Amino acid sequence: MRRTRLLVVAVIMIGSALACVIAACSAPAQPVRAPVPAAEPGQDQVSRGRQLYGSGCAGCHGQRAEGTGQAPALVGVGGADIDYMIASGRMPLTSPNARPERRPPSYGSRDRAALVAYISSLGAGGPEIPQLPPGDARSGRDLYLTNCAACHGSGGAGGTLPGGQVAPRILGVPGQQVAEAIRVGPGLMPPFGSSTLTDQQAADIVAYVGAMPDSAEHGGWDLGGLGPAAEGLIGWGLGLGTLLVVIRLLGKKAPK
Amino acid sequence: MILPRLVGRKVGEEIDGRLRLAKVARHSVAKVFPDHWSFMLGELALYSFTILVGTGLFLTMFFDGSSAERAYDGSYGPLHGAQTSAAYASTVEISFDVRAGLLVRQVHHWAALLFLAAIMVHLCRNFFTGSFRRPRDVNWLVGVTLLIMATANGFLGYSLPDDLLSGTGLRIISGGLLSIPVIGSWLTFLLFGGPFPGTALEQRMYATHVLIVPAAIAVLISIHVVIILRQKHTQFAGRGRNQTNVVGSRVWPTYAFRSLSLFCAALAVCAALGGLVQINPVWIWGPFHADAVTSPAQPDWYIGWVEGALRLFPPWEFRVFGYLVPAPFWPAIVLPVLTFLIMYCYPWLERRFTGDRAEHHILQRVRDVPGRVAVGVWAIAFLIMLEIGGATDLIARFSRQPVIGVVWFLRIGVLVLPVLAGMIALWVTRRLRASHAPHLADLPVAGLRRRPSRVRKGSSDDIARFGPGVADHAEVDAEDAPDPDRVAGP
Amino acid sequence: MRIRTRGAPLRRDLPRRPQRCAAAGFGLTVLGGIAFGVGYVVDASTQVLGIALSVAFAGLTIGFAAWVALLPEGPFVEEREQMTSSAADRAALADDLGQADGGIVSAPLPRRMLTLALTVLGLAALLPVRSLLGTGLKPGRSQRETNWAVDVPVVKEDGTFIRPDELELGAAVTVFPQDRKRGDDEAVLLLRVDPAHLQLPAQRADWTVNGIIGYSKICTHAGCPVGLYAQGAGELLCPCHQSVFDIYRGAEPRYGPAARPLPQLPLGTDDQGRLVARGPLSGPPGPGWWRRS
Repeated sequence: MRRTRLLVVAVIMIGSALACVIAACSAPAQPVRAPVPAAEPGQDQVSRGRQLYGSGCAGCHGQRAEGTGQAPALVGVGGADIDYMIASGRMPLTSPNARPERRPPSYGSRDRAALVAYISSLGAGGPEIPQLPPGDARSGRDLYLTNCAACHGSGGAGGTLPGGQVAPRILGVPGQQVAEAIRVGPGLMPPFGSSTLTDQQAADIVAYVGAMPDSAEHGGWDLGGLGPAAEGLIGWGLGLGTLLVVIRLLGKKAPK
Repeated sequence: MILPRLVGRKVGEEIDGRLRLAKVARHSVAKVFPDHWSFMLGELALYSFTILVGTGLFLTMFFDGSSAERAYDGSYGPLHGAQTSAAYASTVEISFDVRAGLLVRQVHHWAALLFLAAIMVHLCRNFFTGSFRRPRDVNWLVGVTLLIMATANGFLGYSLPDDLLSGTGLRIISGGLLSIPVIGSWLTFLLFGGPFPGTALEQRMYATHVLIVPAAIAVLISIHVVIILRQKHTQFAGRGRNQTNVVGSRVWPTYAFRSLSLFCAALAVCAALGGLVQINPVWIWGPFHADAVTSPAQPDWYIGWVEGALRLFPPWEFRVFGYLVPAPFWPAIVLPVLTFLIMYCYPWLERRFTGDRAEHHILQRVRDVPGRVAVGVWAIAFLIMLEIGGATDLIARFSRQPVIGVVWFLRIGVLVLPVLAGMIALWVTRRLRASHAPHLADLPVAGLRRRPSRVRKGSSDDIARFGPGVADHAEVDAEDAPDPDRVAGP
Repeated sequence: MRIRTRGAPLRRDLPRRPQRCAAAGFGLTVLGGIAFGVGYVVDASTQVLGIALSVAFAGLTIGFAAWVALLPEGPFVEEREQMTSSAADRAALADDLGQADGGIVSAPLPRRMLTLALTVLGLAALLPVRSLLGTGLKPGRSQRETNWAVDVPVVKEDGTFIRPDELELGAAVTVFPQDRKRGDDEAVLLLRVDPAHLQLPAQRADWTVNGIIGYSKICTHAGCPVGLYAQGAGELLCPCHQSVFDIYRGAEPRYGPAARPLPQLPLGTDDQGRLVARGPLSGPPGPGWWRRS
């Protein structure tokens, strides 16, 4: 009777632990988005972009992308920045106070190109969408560890920045967005221009980031790439926890 | 079926003909061990150590403990052709190109985490039941030394692959050693063979991790076990149990089989973790460079308390006769030294407080020693708060709070919460004792409101506060005396 | 002497279920062992090998645990003596030690000389520990000095020079002196910021070039590289213990356990427009030690 009770307790504990893990890993509910207006016939790219900008961006960024109190100016930030923000789903924000975070993108690739074309037509300046040659993951590994690992982690799991900010997880991010982020330096990230990292070097880093998922779980469940802190919790919880249950079942209780 | 028994008998006869073992063997086989489940925690630590040695033997055949540079030519693509230390290259080769190599490596590391966890839980069991009292205070000293050796060897072990994450930890240790007044620089340069990182470190760590410390641990474990055999194991009070006997099951076959089952369970858990859960993926961390770093950066959990102290301790530096005493000195040197010093001295500190110098073979129940429980719970809560403090950046990331807010919360928490926990433990233990409830779960609500009564036995106020085990004075009834036919010989 | 195996006669009334459980457990071990063997031969993944081995050992666990149910329960009792020897035994030992040699062992002259001899030899034998220091650098000057000096060019990791206009606003790059030591405490972070935000100490105000500042990358707390640069906020975060340095105010520690600012590197340009150092770092890099300065 006692042993059955112990087994039930053990099963409940392991079950709730698994439930917590699954809950933590599952994506939060997606907020409802405003529908994208349909394209008009005979539109060219820039006017499609103007139409989309007017419905989706002008409210915060101003009618001529000149910026408002709520959002910065987009004139002259460069095509790479716009493309990155839209492709990664960070923009448009779901609410004015939301934090820009990776989400499923609101616009398809054609609409995105239209927006880039429109905003670029307002003024030139920042880096354009990078066209990088094929890269070599071996050189990229070295460059990544020197320039990127401090904030994004050796395994691309992301890192903590001051002020409650986060360097996001980059494992699994599409190569084009990695390349754009390198050149743009979005948010708190410093930009790496062509003189700091040549096109080939940036391409190498993109190749390495693309190759990371192949070996990210070579040894099994990677615990989110969090390292020894997570390993210690698993060691105590699953390791010692299981063995404590075994010990309790094998040994006797205190004598009366 | 008959052949092994015949062979066994023949071998036994030959050995006995040379060593005269029959009587000793009879004596050993008939030894009685009390079989409370919490007494198996020490065995768990022993079996984890055995797993470490076994897997370590395999690893040492493939690992190259040298900092000499060479090109990696294994099958992990992104590293191909890179110039790294032989230690790092051989570790990645074990992980990708040695068949079953990664399994053995991961089992080795998981077993190390388990080893330290088992030692700590075993230590807590001994602490709370008062088994460190005379005559076992000397075994307590051996045990604390084992804890220190195990911690050191774990740290050396995960630093051996010369990867970016563990190298950062070595840098922190060197910063801590440097902060020691007067001798710090010399000690650091002596151990590292020069400024950090140097080229001598890898070899020295390898020899220490593989030979010196395991040999010391093996010797200390032997002493630990011999003392237990000589003094016989303690036991909880109960019917038929007193200061002059041991009641339990015999070493052969019952206790041995139970213990074997635990050994196999430990192996099963380590094998499962080693196969299914990735640990220390050094090919991801990358080779160590002193100007590169990865985040998050945590050490293995058993060093986490020092890491937490380093993160939480304020930036207090001062000068003595114009010489700098840097900030890491207090959390990285003074805290661990004080901790282990107090742990070593604890049996004598408590003895001084309680005045109890008698020999004890009966364990105390937790409720009998509220003062010690309060101290123990304070210590455990303090340790846990420091461990949490070692992960401030992770807490900040997942709670979306600024790191400095988390740090301040924990700075206050580490001072306040353990004291609170100790006080609650003291209160609960006293209520438990006063109510005579058999289990904490059976403690009636009414009992919680009752004020604690004075302990009915005990001569001085001090002993009453800490309470000798009431069962120390338990008598053995004639009807409860054990069956004389079952008494094992002396 | 012949050892007689006197086993108990086989009992026919042994409980069946524990026997079957034990057998089932060991059967599981057989399966797990075969799976591990096959897995090894076909070079199966770590996960498969681990599961197979785990199942094998779990089978042994169950088998032995079930078998225990068949074994004599007890409880058995063994007598225990007090741990102090009897007075008679102690006296006899004292006698043996004291009298057996006729008093020669306790003779003062050889005893005292032995003490002196062992002390001197022991101290002498400790001296080779100093060999651990090696023939290389000693503490003191080597901790203070780096290869940063006047007119030493600033180079990136791959050895290329840097011109001020190559670094854009907000960028960060790790640089070294042209002839770098193996020790690597010379790593410096070059940051380009808006000069209007700078509030450096007066004597270091001209240590920048067009808003490019250089700070030692090695944290003054415990020595980790301060690699996290929060570009907009003007802060450097060390990942090890979360010290935050304010780059506009000479890398003064703002939060966290670091107590001293990161040393700054005086920057200038040479006649070819490349960035060079104009002197050593403003202080010794890395963690502190017992020193006067």
